[in-house]
Amino acid sequence: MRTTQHEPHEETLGERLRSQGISRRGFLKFCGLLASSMALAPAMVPKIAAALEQAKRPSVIWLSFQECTGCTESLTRSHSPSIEGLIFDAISLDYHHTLQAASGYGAEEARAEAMKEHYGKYVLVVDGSIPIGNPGFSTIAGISNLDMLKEAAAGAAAIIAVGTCAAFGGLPKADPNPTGAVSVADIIKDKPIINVSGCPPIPVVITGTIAHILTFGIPELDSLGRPKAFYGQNIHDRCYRRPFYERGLFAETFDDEGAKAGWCLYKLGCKGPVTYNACATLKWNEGTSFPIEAGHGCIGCSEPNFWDFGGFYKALSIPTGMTGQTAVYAAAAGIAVGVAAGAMNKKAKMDADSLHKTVTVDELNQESPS
Amino acid sequence: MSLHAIPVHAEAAVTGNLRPVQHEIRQALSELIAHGTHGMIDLHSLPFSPQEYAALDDFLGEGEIDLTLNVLGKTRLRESSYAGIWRVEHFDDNDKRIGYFIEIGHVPEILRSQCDDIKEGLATMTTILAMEENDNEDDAT
Amino acid sequence: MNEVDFLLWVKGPAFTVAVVIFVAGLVLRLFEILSLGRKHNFAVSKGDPMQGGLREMWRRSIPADKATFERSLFTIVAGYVFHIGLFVVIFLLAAHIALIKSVIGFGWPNLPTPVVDAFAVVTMIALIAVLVHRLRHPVKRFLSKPGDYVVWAVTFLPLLTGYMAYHHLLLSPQMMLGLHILSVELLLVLFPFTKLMHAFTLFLSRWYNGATMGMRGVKS
Repeated sequence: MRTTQHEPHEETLGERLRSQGISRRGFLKFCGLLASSMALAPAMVPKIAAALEQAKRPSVIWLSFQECTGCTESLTRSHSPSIEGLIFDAISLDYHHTLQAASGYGAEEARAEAMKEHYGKYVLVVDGSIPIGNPGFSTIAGISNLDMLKEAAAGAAAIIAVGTCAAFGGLPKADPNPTGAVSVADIIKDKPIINVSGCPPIPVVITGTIAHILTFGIPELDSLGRPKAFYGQNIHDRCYRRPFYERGLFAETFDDEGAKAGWCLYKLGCKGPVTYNACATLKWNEGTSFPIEAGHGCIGCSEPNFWDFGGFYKALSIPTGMTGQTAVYAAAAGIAVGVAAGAMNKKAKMDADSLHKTVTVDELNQESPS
Repeated sequence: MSLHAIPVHAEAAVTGNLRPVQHEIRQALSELIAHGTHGMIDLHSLPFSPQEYAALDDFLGEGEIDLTLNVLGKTRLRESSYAGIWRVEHFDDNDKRIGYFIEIGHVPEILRSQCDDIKEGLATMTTILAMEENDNEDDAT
Repeated sequence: MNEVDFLLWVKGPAFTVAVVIFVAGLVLRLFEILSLGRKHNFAVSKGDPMQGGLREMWRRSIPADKATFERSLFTIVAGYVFHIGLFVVIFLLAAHIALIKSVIGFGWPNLPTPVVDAFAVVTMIALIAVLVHRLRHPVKRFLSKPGDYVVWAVTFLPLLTGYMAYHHLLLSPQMMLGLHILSVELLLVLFPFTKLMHAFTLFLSRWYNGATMGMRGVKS
C-alpha cells in the first residue's frame, strides 16, 4: 500500500494527481467541486488549489471498532472518479483492516510501522464505538479496542471520528448499552477530534473533512465537535418541504394525499428540526436525493442518542415516556387523595359544627348585665 | 426505470432562492464591467427546486456558445443570452451532474489554458524539437 | 449532559413526572372543592338556582355592564387578548396537537405556523402590558402577592422559549426546545397549586354565585 524507500523529495498532492494523468484543468474542476462540497464560496477555489498543490500526502490509519462497516461502505461505494475517490487517492491509507490486502501479522505490522514512521503526523480515523464494559467485547488481533485507540491516538496529529458510533456512541450505546460503549471523545482528551457523524456520514462529508485538514488544517467545529461547514445547517431549515411546514400542511400517514403531494413529514416523526447535517444540500447516491425527498422523515442519525429519541415515527413534540394510561393512573391517584382530603375537610367542618355552642336567650341576658 | 418514472409528483416547491440568485448575477455582471471582477455562484449548494432551475434557465436564455470539455468526465460550458454570463456544469464519468456554477466573466476559468500547463507544454515542445533536430543532424551525418 | 441528553430528559422522565403531578393535582383540587358539597336546602325557592348559575356563567363572560367595561377597559381587552392568544398557541399549533393526540388519543386540525406565531407575539405583548399595568396600578400592586408574579412568569416563559425555539434565536434549537418543554413542565407542576387553577374553578365559582343570586328565597 505504501512505498517504503525514502524519497529525497516528498511528493505533494498536486504532483500526485498530475502523475495520475489529471490535467490542471481537471485539478481546477476538482477544486471547484471540492469547494462546493466543503460549502466554501467559489472565491476560495484558487486558495484551495494552491493549498492542495503544496499539501503533503498524509499517512492515514483507520481503526474500526464496534461498527457495521457502513461508514466504509458509504465511502467506497461513491463512484469513481468522483471527488471522494480522488481525495481517497490523495492520502496514504496505511491501515484499514477491511480494505487492506494484508491480513494477520502483516496488517498489524503495517500499522505499527506507519505509527512509528509518521509519529506525531499521521491522521487517525476511527469508526465504531469503544466498549469499556469488558475489553473482551471487541478486539482486533487480540488487542482490546480501548488499548488500540489509546496507543494509536498517542502519535496522531488529529483524530477523525467517522460515523455516529465513533462520534457519540451510536447504536452500540443505545439503551441499555450492554457493552458500555463510549465515543472516541469520551476516552481521548488531549488530541483534536473531529466528529463526522451520521449513520453513515455522507461520503463527500468524510472526504471533504479530510480535504479540509489537508488544505486548511482542522476545520471550524460546532459544540458537538462537528465541522460547521457540513453540520452548520439544520435539515429543517434547508428542507425543500419547509414551505409546507410553514403553511401547516402535513402528511398524516405515508400514503395519504398529503404524502403524495409532498407535504411536510413532521407528524410522521421527521427529526429534521433538531438535526444538523448536509443531506438537504449535498444529498445521497451521487446527489440523487435525500431521505425526505424519498418520502421518509429524517431520523436524526447525525445527532447523539438518535436511537433513543423516542421512536422514528413519533413526532418530535411527542413525549418519549408518557402514555394516556399514565395520565389515567395519575387521575386515579388524584381522586384517591382528593377523597381523603375531602373527607378530612368534611370532618373539620363537622367538628366545627359540633363545637358550635347554641346560645340561649337566658345566657345572652346573663352575659350582658344591664 | 428512471427516477422520473416513479409516479410521485411533488407540488411545485418554492424555496425562495431564485430571486436572490438573479440579483446576485446582476450584481456580479455590473462588478465585471466596473472592476473586471470574475464572479462565480455555486448553485449546487443552494436549495433549488427543479421548477426554479428551469425558471433560472429561462431567465438566462441560450447564447451562442455551447462547449463540452473532456476533463475528469464531461464539463459543459454554455454562454447565456447575456454576454459574460456562463453556465458551467460538471459531470462525472456516468454523465451525472456533480457541480453547477454560474460564472460571470469574459471566459470561464476552466476554459483558459492554465499557465503551468502552458509552461509544461513549452518544455515538452522544446524537448521534442531538440530531439528532432538532433535526429536530423544524426541523419545528415 | 449535552443538549440532546437534556432534550431527551425533558421529553421523557421530566414530562411524565410533570403530567402526573398536573393531573393528580388537578383532580385532587377539584375533588377537594366538590366533595365539600353544600347543605341540602329544604325550602322551596322561587327562582331556579340552575338557571341563575348558568346565566351568571354567561353574563360574566361578556362585557355586559357598560360602566364596568369602560372603567376597566384595559384589563378586559388585554385579558381577553392574551387568553384567546394562549388558546390559539396552545391548542392550534401542529406540534402541540401531535403531543396532545399522543396523550389523549385524538387530535384536530391545526392553523398555519406563521398565524400561530403572530398570535404568540400578540399574546406576549399583552402579557407584558398587563404586568406593567399591575405594577403601576396602586390597588393592583397592593393586592399582588409573590405568587401572582410567579404565575405570570410561568405563563410567559413557555411563550418566549417557544417563540425563540421556532425562530432559532440565541441558543441551538435543541437547547431552546428543551428549555421550552421544561418551562411548560414548570407550568404544569405549579398549575394545580396556584391561581392558575382558575382555568378550572372559574365557571364553577360563577355558577355558585349565580345560583345563590338566582335562588330568591330563604334557606332552611
